[in-house]
Amino acid sequence: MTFSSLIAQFINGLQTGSVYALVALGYSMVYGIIKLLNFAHGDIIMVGAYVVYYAIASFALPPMLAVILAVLVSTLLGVTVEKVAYTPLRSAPRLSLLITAIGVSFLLENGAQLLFGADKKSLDPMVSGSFQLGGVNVSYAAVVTIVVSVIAMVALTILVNKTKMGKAMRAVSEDMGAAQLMGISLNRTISMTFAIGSFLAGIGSVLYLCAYPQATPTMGSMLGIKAFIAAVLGGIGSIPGAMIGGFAIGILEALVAAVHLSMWKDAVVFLILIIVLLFKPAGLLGKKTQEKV
Amino acid sequence: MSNVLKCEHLRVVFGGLAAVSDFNIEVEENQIAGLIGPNGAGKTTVFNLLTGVYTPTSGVVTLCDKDLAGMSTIQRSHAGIARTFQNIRLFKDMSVIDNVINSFNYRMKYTIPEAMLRLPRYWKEEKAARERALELLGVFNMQDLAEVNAGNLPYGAQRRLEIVRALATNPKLLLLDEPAAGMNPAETTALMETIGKIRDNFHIAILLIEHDMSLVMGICEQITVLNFGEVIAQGTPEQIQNNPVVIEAYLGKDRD
Repeated sequence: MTFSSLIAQFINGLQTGSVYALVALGYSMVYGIIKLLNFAHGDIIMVGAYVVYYAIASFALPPMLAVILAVLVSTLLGVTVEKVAYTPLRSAPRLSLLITAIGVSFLLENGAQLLFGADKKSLDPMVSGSFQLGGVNVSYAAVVTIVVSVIAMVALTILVNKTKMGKAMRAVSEDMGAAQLMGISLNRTISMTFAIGSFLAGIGSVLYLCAYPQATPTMGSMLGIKAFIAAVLGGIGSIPGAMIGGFAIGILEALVAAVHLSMWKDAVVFLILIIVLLFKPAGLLGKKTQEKV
Repeated sequence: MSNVLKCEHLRVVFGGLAAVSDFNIEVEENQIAGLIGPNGAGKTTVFNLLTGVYTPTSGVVTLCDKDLAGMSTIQRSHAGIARTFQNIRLFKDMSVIDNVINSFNYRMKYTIPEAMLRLPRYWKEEKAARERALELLGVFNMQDLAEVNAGNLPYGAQRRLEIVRALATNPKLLLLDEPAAGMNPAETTALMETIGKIRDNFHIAILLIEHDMSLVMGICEQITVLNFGEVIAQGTPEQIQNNPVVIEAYLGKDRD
């Protein structure tokens, strides 16, 4: 394998990695605040992708408008799922929440199949073309994806560290009871977390379409699981962890493909999950939770 | 002077056991009241009833003549009840100043777009919050620790930060749950002075739970003694110290 093809694969990895990272952030933030693995999160991306498809293919909207619409619908869907399915279970055992999340995921996937059909809906690539950079062929789609996700992550970091919303989110995730006693609204803070996570997933769905311009009802499921693994690898609940985990999984996949083992891509990612859970269950940046003896 | 806090016949039953029964108290503005009693007497339960963590089985709680029935913890915080915790519950991964700024959260009005675009209202409110937080930290001479992670503070400083954080919610009634727990005598003396200073500067009513009798007798104007959920005595420190029922609850009955 030549050096330039290695670099090309690395850029591919960064591209898919950015999407994983954006989706992993949603997983991690929601887990951080209500200790829920929101398995419906990946399916938000699928809905976003269909919005883009129908906006462009059926309503002939300009791509930019389709993108904004997709992000808006994803955000609203995320908050609606939280309000309808998770809020009534706030004081229920965590397991009930988890099962509900899986149920919501099935509902979205099968609902999409019912509404849009099981066949692939293919789009023309939204960003086409490529350029040469030191002998390496770089697609504009990869550049757009990496730049947009880095901007989104910087914005998120500022939001979480420098604004009252971010501080409220961190306070609620540390101690829900104490946060309430300081006058912080749980409902508003939790909804905001879902809104931000789903907003990022909406961006993720658009960027995913840049790489693979097609929508299917189950596209969110494997993407969601990969992002979940990225979140676990980075340390679930940790925002920088989700970013690092996302990029790491993306690059790993690309490198597996680079050595012509594409068929083993998913297996390697799941192997990573097993290794992390066995040897470093808190993830790279996660906090050690000590078991009380 | 008007009552800030008034409880009438407050009672809560958990599975047939009355954790608190017939609790009555009146605390005025600028007054420090103490709540004492042996372990398990129901003192913290009273705090949980006042802050809406538990719903009373019967009885009335009013804050400045306003009935609090049916109000959530958050609404009660906005109405003017703040508390600290016996086991410190700071936001340990956040800086000292952010712990305080969190208490201003609901009074800050800017939106996410304003924050992301850095519009004037964001700067104005964040700057005001910072200044006010530093001012409050100044009450305890903690300005220099503003950027330290709350979890890294020494124990005594964590207790003081809990009080600052509670004060930042702009309360009318401040509930202190064992503020001197784990403090050495010098720290306790300093704490007593600060509690007095808070009362004088903020014009609020303070109700505190404490086992350190020198603190309770030293700064409380009125004391309520709980035992097995019931008020067994109420009065000035002198009256409480000489009350045979109180002595019996703490030390047991004289054998002859």
